[in-house]
Amino acid sequence: MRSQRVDIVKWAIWGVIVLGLLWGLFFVKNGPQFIVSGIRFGSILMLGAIGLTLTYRILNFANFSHGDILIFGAYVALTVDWWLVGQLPEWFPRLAEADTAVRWLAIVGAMIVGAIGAILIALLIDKLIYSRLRRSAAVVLVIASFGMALFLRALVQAIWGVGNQAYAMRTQLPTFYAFGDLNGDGRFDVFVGAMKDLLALAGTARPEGAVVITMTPVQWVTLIVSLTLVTLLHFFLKYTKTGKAMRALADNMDLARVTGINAERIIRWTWAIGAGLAAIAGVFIGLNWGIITPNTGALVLLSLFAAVILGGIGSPYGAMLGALVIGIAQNLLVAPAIPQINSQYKPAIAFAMMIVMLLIRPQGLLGEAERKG
Amino acid sequence: MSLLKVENVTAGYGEMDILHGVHMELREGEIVALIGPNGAGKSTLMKTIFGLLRPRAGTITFRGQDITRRAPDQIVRLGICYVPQTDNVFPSLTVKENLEMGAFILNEDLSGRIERVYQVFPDLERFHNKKAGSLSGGQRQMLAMGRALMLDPQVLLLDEPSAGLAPKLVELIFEKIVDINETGVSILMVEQNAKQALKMADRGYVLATGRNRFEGTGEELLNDPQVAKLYLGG
Amino acid sequence: MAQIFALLLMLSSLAGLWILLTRKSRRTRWAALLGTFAVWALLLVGAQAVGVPPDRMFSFLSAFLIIAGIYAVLTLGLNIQWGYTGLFNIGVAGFFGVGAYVSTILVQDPAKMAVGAGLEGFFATYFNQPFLVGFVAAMVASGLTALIVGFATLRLRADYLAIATIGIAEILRLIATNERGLTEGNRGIPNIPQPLHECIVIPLQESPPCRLLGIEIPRFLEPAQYNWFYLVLVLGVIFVAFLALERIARSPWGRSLRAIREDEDAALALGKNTFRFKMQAFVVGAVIMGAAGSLWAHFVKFVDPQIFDAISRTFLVWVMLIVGGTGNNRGAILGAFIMWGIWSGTNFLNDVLPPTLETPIGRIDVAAQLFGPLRIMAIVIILELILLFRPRGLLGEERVTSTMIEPSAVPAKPKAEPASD
Repeated sequence: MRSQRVDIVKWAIWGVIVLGLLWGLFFVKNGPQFIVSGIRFGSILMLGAIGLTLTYRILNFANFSHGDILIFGAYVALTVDWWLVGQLPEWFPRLAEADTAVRWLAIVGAMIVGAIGAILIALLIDKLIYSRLRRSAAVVLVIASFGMALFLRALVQAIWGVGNQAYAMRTQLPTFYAFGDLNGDGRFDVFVGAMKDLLALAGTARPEGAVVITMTPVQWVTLIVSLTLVTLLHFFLKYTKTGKAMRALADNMDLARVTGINAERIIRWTWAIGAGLAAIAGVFIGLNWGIITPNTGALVLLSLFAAVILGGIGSPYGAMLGALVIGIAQNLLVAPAIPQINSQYKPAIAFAMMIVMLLIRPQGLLGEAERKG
Repeated sequence: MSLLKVENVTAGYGEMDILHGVHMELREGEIVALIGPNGAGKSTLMKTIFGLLRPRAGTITFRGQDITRRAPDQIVRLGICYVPQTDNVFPSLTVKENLEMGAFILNEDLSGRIERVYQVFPDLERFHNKKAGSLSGGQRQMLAMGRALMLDPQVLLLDEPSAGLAPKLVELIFEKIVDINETGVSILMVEQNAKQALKMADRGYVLATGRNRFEGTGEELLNDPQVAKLYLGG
Repeated sequence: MAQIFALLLMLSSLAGLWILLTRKSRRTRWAALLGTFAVWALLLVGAQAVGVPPDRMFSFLSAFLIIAGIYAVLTLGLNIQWGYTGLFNIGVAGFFGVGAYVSTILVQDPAKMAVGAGLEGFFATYFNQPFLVGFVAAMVASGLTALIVGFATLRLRADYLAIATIGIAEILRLIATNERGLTEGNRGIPNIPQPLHECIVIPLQESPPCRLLGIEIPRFLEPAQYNWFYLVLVLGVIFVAFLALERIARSPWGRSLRAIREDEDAALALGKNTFRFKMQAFVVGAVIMGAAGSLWAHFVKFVDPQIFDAISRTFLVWVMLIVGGTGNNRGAILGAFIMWGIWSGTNFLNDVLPPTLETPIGRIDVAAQLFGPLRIMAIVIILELILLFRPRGLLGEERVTSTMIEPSAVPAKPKAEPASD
């Protein structure tokens, strides 16, 4: 009887999500554009949320330092990015003419080094602190991770200062994609063009019912790279020996040890994957928001937790789903749909959704029940 | 020849001792049953052998080698596998993945080993790609034992393999245990179903309040009037 | 020179407090109190002898004690949540800030904020109520916030409460920053009135006598002495909160809270409505934090969104409680004074360190960029070391047993000895 009732709640939530999407698509001005932006932000949040949910599931604690590992990686990447932008033309004189190519190459290198930096710091923290607390109560680990969050934030401030910083990538003109009856001849057209055509279209010539979505190259790369990484992670968890062992550890750590699985090695893998993806998310946040500050990580952490709880804490696929929902809701609700909401309140939207979810279905959309009291 | 030998082991949780100087021996090719009332320390002894608990005193040897303070993953490498009583499968992994985890320490193609396990437990092959969490109790027990067989162990430690199973399934599980034993695996098992366990066991030990009380061949214990009165329900 | 005397004043206060809180004998406690006063007097005389004005010393000492005292109130509030009940609140700043803002908005005099008072561009609404109204409203508002957060999360695992509390603090900060019609945003609210200030402090110009409940109150304090009055107020709040919490600890209710902390499932099995108990403890703690927020706002006379700072309002309070000993009210107070001593004492380092540092990656402004972060890192290291090596804190938890049991009949807690695998 009870499980049936809960299922109704679950389907009701799915219903709300679908209705929200339809509303956004058809009743909000420029809705499709905002939904696409939402998917893009959601895919960034996914990268961050996966690490959070994996450490929760395997090490059994909410890691409050995850946001600051993310921003640490982003800052390491920042330094490498500017250094490479200076160095690459010197190493390869042929690149001196191609400024855009240099900046792209630099950001790719920066992303890799940033991810390595985040992985190293995560492994170091685990070695120094968390590994000694494995048998402590979860809450002790949470205090320790809260402390480490502030430590990392202070470290970032000490090294890079408190101000806004940006990557070397230049803002690039977006390409626009228009769909609908653009010529007014009763036929469906698909149109891809550059920015100046868009301006013409947006001015007078844009017919009723046409949908226009603009994306810059950076935004395309964000979307494609994030979704590719998430897909790769799916295959990793599903088909590799380490990935399977990771799921086994998440199911039952004691049994995994009895079976002969080297738990510590798998835990190190978990940290590495979580921190590496988080650092890449941090770089994408910097590229898409334009700036990063030492506090960005803490601010994003709230949305990450909301995503994780929405999908069901501990489930990697739940985290992906939750991130997508949060990303779309944040982009759709803030400016376009309800103009009264200040865009500063994006984290508040995520938080409100999380509280509602905790009230009606604490185990999230894909999670298992874990209710007390 | 003595394969696994427990001498004078004292162990317990926190500051409380459960085992007080227990001894036990498992010889090559034997089935040995550990029986006794609840709280006698049977499962504790098994956990101590497997390195999940650190004994306060005494020694445990395997083929004459001291393994008293080894960690579980080292003990697995020696060829001793352990099947816990409850929560003994990974519920979100498929049957096949569960079996693969059993041979985690090997870096080789596992299809041959999996095939051999399926020969012992043909039921499992049907559920090949099903999540272990959706299996029935008997199937889970078979899966857990199958996972332990993946390493071709020399010794199998079974903690109450028949717990919570219907009588028909209990019989099936016991048959399987004998089958496994016939392939050359020595088996040490803790059992609540004392009568049935002693019938198939070569030898048995009766523990009570953490001490050895009786020992002998399965038949001797079954026919011992005192054991019968105290532990076999008359 | 002045700094050395200030440091000595602080240290003597801490030493006196330590004895006062850790010794059981009444004689020792009185001796500690009088001894501390004597050392203060000596230090002040000494300061004057080397040419440091005692007024400066006085205002330093009173400000130190007041702020440490406000932190002690916060720490007591956290103690009932975490120390007694095991509720993991890492949004202390949120409850503190709500108290500060609510109290400020209710008590602030609109005339002080009006155009023409030199503060153009302020447009929030203020209510000009007495301090007591603001103080009580601060507690109520903070308690209501706790009710909402608790309702969503107290039925769930401890981590959810942690996430929700850190979230609510962040959201409240966003509101304080963006809702300028309510809070003036980042500019903050200045000139917050102080309780009874205009009634008891001798004004510069002649003004009509002040009446309170029909009784005329004589003005008896120089402006520089007002802090001593405020200190008495803060100490009074600490005292009331402390007595209340001690009573709770020894009551059946307090024992239920501990039972929930130690083993919630067992408490549940014994028929305790753990959700209700947890909610009550959470709200009581939040009410105390709200009171601390109100005391803070009316002492520093200024609030802005910085009040929601996670480091100095949440983390520092946690460290105070953990250093002092979770579950121990005396420890909570002592931890607050010691950690505030360390936190504010390290400000002196700023004068010792070089202002800028040449490094391979460029020039670093030590005071602005390095000092704050390094101090936080040092405090975190203290916390992690305590967690790793001395999880029970300085004083540890007091053994609270029912009067029905002989103390000797309580067995020592067995130490867990996990298997090493």
